[in-house]
Amino acid sequence: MRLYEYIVRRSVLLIFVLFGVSLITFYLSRGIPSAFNPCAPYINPKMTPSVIHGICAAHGFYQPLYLQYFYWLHDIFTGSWGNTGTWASGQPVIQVFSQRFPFTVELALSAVVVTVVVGVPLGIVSAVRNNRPVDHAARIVALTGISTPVYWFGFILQLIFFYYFLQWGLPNLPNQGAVSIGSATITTYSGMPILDGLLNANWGYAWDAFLHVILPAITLAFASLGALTRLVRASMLEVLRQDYITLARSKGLSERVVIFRHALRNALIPALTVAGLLFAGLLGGAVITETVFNWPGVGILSVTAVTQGDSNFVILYTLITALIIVVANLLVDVLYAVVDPRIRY
Amino acid sequence: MVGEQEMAPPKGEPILELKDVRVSFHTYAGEVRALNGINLTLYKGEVIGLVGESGCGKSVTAATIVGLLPENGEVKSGQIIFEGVDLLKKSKKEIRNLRSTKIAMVFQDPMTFLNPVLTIGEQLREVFTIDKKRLAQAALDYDLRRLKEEERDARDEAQSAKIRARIAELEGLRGNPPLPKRRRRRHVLDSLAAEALKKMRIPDAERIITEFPHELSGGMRQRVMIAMAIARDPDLLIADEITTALDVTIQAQILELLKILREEFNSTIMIITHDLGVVADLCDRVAVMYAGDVVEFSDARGLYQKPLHPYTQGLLRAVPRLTERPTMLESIPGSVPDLIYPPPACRFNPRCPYAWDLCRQKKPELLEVEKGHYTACHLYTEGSKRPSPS
Ligand SMILES: Nc1ncnc2c1ncn2[C@@H]1O[C@H](COP(=O)(O)OP(=O)(O)O)[C@@H](O)[C@H]1O
Ligand SMILES: [Mg+2]
Repeated sequence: MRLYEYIVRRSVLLIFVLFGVSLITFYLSRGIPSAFNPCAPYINPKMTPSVIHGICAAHGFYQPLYLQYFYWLHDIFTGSWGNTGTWASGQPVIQVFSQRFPFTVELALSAVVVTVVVGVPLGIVSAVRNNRPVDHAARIVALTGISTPVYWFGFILQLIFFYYFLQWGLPNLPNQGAVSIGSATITTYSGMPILDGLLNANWGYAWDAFLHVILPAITLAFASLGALTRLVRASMLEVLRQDYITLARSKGLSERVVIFRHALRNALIPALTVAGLLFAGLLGGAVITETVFNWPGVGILSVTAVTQGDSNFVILYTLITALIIVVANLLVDVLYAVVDPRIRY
Repeated sequence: MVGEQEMAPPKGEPILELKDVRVSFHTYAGEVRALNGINLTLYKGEVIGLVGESGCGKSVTAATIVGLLPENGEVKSGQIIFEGVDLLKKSKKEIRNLRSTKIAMVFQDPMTFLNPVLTIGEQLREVFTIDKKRLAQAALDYDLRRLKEEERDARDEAQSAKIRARIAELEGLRGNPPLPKRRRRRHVLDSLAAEALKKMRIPDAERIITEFPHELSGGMRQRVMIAMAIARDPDLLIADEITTALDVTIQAQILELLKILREEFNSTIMIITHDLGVVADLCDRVAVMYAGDVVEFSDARGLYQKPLHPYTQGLLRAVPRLTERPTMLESIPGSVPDLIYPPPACRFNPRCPYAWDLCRQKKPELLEVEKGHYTACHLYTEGSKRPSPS
């Protein structure tokens, strides 16, 4: 099977890409003297200079850079990713990361669902009703989405759905965190509150978690939704001009069949790339949304880690993000081959 | 001339009449007057050719008939009478129904006209799903055929009696057969699709049905497109330059196929082409178009033996002939006019060797100059008033 070969070949390439990323990340965090003090997580202000010197030497921070890289690689492969600084009470970075990362995944997935569920139909309607009122409305929504700053939009949503709804005595939506404070503790399976709530058959918990994700997901989705709507619209318009659409119409097929059977699949092929990379981007880039909604994901954490000069955490975060983007790229390419029969590898 | 009388096509009822049809396109550069009031009559069962240089409005004529003008196109005036009713007065839905049952079209480039992400089967089967009555009928026929085969292979008398009873039961449904569901529907559609391909002389139709357009050769794709059109058993088939995008040898095969279909399938065919050879081979009558006008309309033989319009004369002179001693290829001087600012009156006047003042003042009408031979040229009506060239 050719597709299978392709996946293997791409996976091998993926390893090289990750090595490249690790080199760059390593150099940025250790090679530039002023950026981070690699020793920072291991020391505290109470230590004397000679003690600090000893600790740094023990971790090999005075060795030549290339040797440090090999030590570091060795640690990475053996799973010793190091500890966080005092800001996260010196826990192993892997532990801190894996507790928080599922929250980011839940938020990103929800945002992708909103983006696709709203963006694709909006783009289709916009193209099919080209230059009519519906199209203008959809285009305004899309343009607004692209040009509205995330933090502003997030606060406006909070103002309306949290604050004003409360004032008006309407059921309002939560604006902080991923679950209500004081919720029961439940068994953790995935680390994602909605999914865990469902897996525990604790519907109240899942519902609460669902309500919490609504506003941040919409906030995060808004910009990408605009981009996707415009892309689907443009590609649908292009497809509707194709000869095979004329042929489909000449068969006497209804407009619905022409659009959904003949045009849509062709029009969504380019949208696939965007949706895939969007998801990868959302996983890595939800920092502002997480901050605005006090969402316990890795976004906030990584900002803290950067300001605290915690190179161990930053390296892990960067590597994982790179891995996600590369894998998403691969998935998109494989999906391409599934959707478009013309593509052969 | 007895011989020519016999050649004249049998004129039954007209199936399609275009009366003074004007079509314009709205563009940023201005209004493109693509059809300048054309008149055409097609009789049932005849094969008609529509010829002219590219850009003269052949495809626009076809698109207007089937109601598929692009969004910026507009029918300014005229009537298109199909089987007695004016298509321009029909609703979009009625025209759509007409396309699925009575008027089918085959297009120029089989690569771009087939959907790249759907298999041939998916694109062919849907042709049979639109007309529910016909589908139900086909399903019944399909079942009966299978039962009759079973009866032939029946083991004993008891079994074959049982099958005969079932056949009788199904025959009873003839008047109002039920629509096939799911699996059976799929089987029926597949068998219809394979049958349609076999009619196009396509070998291993069952395999072709599972393939995608890019996996087929150009000639095969063209056969598939023709199959889609013929499968609807239309009263009128319009074939727009269907050989133009193909290699010469494939062209010949498709033309051969058209000739066979012409005999098997006795509906009216309109063949659009800029290739006079194709017309000579296949058509009963020919209409010659120039810049949005029909300038000559005649039985094919009459047109070749005695072209009347100066444009047709030029066109025929431009065709190289194998039978004659090779001479210089002639072409008509001048170029195709801009349809935003077309020449006044007769649109051919700037390129016509015989043009005089009248040709720039009054548009000539399409008139029967000889029996069954129409032309739109002042030479044949006002020719005597033409000042002699000095
Ligand atoms: N969508 C359109 N917009 C503007 N002009 C058009 C459009 N379609 C066709 N035309 C013009 O109409 C004229 C006739 O075109 P067409 O019927 O396609 O020619 P052909 O005889 O080669 O099939 C040409 O001058 C062409 O430029
Ligand atoms: Mg054309």
